[in-house]
Amino acid sequence: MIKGALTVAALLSVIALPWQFAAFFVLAAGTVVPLLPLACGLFLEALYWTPGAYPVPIFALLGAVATFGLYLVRGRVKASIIE
Amino acid sequence: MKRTYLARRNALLSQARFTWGAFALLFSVCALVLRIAAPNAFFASVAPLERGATAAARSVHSVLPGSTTGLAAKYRALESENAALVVENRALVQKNVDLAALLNATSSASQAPGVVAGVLAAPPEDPYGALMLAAGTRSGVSVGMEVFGTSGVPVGIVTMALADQSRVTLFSAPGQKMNAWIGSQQLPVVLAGAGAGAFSASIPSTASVAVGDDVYAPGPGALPVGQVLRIDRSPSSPSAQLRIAPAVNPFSLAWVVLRPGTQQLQSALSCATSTHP
Repeated sequence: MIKGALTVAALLSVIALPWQFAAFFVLAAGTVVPLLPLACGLFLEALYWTPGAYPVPIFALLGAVATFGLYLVRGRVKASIIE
Repeated sequence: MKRTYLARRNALLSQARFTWGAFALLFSVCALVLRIAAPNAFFASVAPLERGATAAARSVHSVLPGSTTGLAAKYRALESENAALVVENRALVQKNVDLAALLNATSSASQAPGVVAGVLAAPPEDPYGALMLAAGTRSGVSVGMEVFGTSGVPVGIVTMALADQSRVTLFSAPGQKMNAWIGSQQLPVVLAGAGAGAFSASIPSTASVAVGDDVYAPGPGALPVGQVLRIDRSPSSPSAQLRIAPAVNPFSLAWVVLRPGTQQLQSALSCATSTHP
């Protein structure tokens, strides 16, 4: 339930909030749902990116990097011998 | 001590039930495909959300309790109206000076009628320094049209026009460059977009520019686009860096006017990036 609410809120924050706040919220939600940074980055590019605005879809790339990092962290935390 | 090893698993494929992360990714991919395949339908479906979010962001202060909220809102409205009148006055003064200097008293030609468009999304919601307008080719908008904010201040140029929406790249967006001039001595400079509505420029350190000098862009006549906010000089550098505040705050734009781009503007954007159509 919480994951669902976070997912919907993160996708809406891309439209409703300034991108700095949306990025912070998505990163925080990504600790629970790691694919959210990549998904929100793609959604933001679908909304706002044009080839003339910026050479590359930078936010999709940053989302991919953030998702990769979050999966690495989750893997380390889950594999830890410390309980 | 026995160590517990966790097997590697694929978050998308190994679970029996659908994960929220996969749902979000699928939703984003579908949005991307729809944007590419049917951009007009995509933006038309998103427009109500953008409009609602922009309206909510602008009216959030009215939700706060307290008797001073209304007075504060009224003060801000009067302040912005005053700023718009000051800018308009400066444009008229400069125009008068130019006409007097040319010794031609021909009255200025009436401006071509423009297209009024509401702003659906603007910075900082838009991270690329662009405006999304609720008017497209059906309303007479075309790529290359110049966009004006309050008091006729040029703010950007149309770079994408769909049937019912259009996209405007602001002159202050990062990567944008525009020829302009500063002050009554009309010192030529190249304005570089610094994002968030601001500009920067580089001038010789010996140039006589002061804080508060107006910055003008061409077409038609001289249109004020900003004011010098700060001058950074270094004893070891032959140039000084100017920080220029915009005449119109792009964050607060609700309506804009679009007019065909002028020859002066096209020439001023000759050194712009690939955004220039």
